Amino acid sequence: MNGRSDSPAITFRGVTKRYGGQDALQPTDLEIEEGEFFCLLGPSGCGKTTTLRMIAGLEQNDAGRIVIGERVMSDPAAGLFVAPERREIGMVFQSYAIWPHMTVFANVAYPLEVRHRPSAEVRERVAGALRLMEMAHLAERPATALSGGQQQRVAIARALVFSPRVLLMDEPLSNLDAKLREQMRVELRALQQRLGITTVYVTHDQEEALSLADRLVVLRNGRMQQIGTSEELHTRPANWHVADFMGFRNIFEADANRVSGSEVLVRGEGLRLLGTATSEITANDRVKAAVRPEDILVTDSPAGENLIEATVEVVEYQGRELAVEARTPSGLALHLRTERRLAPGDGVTLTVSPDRLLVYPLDTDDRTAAALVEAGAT
Amino acid sequence: MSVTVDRPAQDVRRGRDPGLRHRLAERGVDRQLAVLIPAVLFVVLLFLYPFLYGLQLSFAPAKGGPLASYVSFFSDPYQRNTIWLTLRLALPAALINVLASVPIAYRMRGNFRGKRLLTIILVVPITLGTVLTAQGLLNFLGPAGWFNKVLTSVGLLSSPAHLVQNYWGVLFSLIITGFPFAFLLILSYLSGIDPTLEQAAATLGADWKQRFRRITLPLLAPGLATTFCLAFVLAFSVFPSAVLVGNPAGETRVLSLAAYQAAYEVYDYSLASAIAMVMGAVELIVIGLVLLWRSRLYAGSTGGKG
Repeated sequence: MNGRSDSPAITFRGVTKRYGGQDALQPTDLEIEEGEFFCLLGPSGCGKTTTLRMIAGLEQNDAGRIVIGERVMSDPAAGLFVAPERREIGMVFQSYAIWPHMTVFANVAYPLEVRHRPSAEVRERVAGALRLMEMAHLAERPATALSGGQQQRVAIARALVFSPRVLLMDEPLSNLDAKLREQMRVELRALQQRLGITTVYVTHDQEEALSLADRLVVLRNGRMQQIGTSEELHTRPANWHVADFMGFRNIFEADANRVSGSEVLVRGEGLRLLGTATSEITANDRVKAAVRPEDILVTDSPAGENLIEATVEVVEYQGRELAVEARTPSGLALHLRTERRLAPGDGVTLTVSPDRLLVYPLDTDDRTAAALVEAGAT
Repeated sequence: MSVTVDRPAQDVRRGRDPGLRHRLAERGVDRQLAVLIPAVLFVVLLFLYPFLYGLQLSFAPAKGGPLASYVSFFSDPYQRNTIWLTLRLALPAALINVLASVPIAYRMRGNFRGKRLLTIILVVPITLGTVLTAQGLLNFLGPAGWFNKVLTSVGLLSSPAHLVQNYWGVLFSLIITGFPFAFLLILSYLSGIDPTLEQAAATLGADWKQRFRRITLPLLAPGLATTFCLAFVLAFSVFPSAVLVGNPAGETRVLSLAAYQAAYEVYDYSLASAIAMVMGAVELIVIGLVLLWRSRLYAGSTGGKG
């Protein structure tokens, strides 16, 4: 599986997909490296599953070119489209898509049988794949007699048994219960590292994406928002939409008041806070300020910079920490985490370190939306 | 049919023996069963009673012992042969309708432009009725019909082919009127199969033939068996087209025709009833064989939207 070539395992060049006049995927360039665990992350309807299905050949792109390895799989301009069965990919579906009329063994053997492998090889490789997924003892069970987690394992064994070039997974863990999901996540990561197989994984769960991926991309409205390693996306979201997806629960609109270097003073909601600009921002711009709950601290000192007065409204017990929702006099709700035992009604002084308060420009979509709201109001 | 609806608590409290009531309700026995009464009455009065009446009539001939009607039917080759003549029409008609529906329905899963129009065109023969179909067949396939005119004028045939007033006319009529039923049933069975099952097979390397043979067909087979049974029963009771586009005195003298003649030409109601019973028995045997085959197939969930 390794060392096939130095070229990327999967390449998108200007790939576009439309559904009924809507862009499901806007022209996209993307390179997924050989052996990489790559996540497509985004809310439902963002185009992540469409992207995966275009790699699989279950959807046809309207423009652009999809290359797997050295082979062009789809290029509408050249009238070229390779059917899914000729792409040498293994795919795991959200619903598992286990064939209910077959045993576990027959399910896993099927990809080899359609390739006309000799039966001794089929037996050996199926046994190997089932052992890999710890399902060997259930080989003769009818597929419908399995639990969800076991069906999932069969689906993965089935997708790996013929050593495909690429493994595609469409929200494979979303139908499992929380405990099993975490366990499978660890197993998946270990499996992928051991096999070194190029994996493209679709999920709407940022925690899942961050923990699994070598690199990930955040999609929104059919457009790539940011691509990078988990750490890059987690610490430096490229825009406030990505920040929103990466756990910056506190995002509010404000005015940029003073800009010096990357340091920005923002005013809004009755607050005056120093933050860090993530891109070019000029004074008097409307901006979005974003901060994670864990970066808002409760302080006792009444003096200093970046202070926020607020009243505790909701307190959730979460073990060592409390998840607190506090409201500023202007009505802005702030989410924070603290080890202090606060109670609803308590007045608190909060503080944010300037390098943890990220300041983003409003993007074009928001300005359009704002203009539409104003036009509608008048 | 089981009806499981949570019953309000006070309803149980009012009952004299809530324990018994509760146990019965858990088995689906409760007051909601009353909604079945009209249907049960309907079945008893309009089906069960006439059937039992005919059954006893068949064992009560005017002359001879209780089995005399059956003896006279089976000992007369002209009568006995009607079983074979009817099977010879109904089995191929049902089989052709099922087999023709599968590829068309397979292509028509999912949504595409003009699907509704195409469905209407395919289903319209249901609304025509046998007489209109027979009329059309006589005009189209008759010795002076378009079909023969075209084939003789281009020189493919030297003399017109005999396609009506015989076996073929009835078979065509049965195919035309039976196809929409088979097609609609099979289309609904096919849409009940989760499409990701086939997509999974595609991504794992199976071409469409392999997918159809190993995934779709096995999941569809129980539905095909059921459809075949219904199409067969429909064709087996053929009557109008056997007269109108067939040869009712010869090769299309089907069972229903023999029963009609016994009842309304010879006025032997006992013989007519016996023929009707034979008809029912033959149908049951064929259906029984098909269902026996079906029981050996996978018949569980196909994951779709039903």
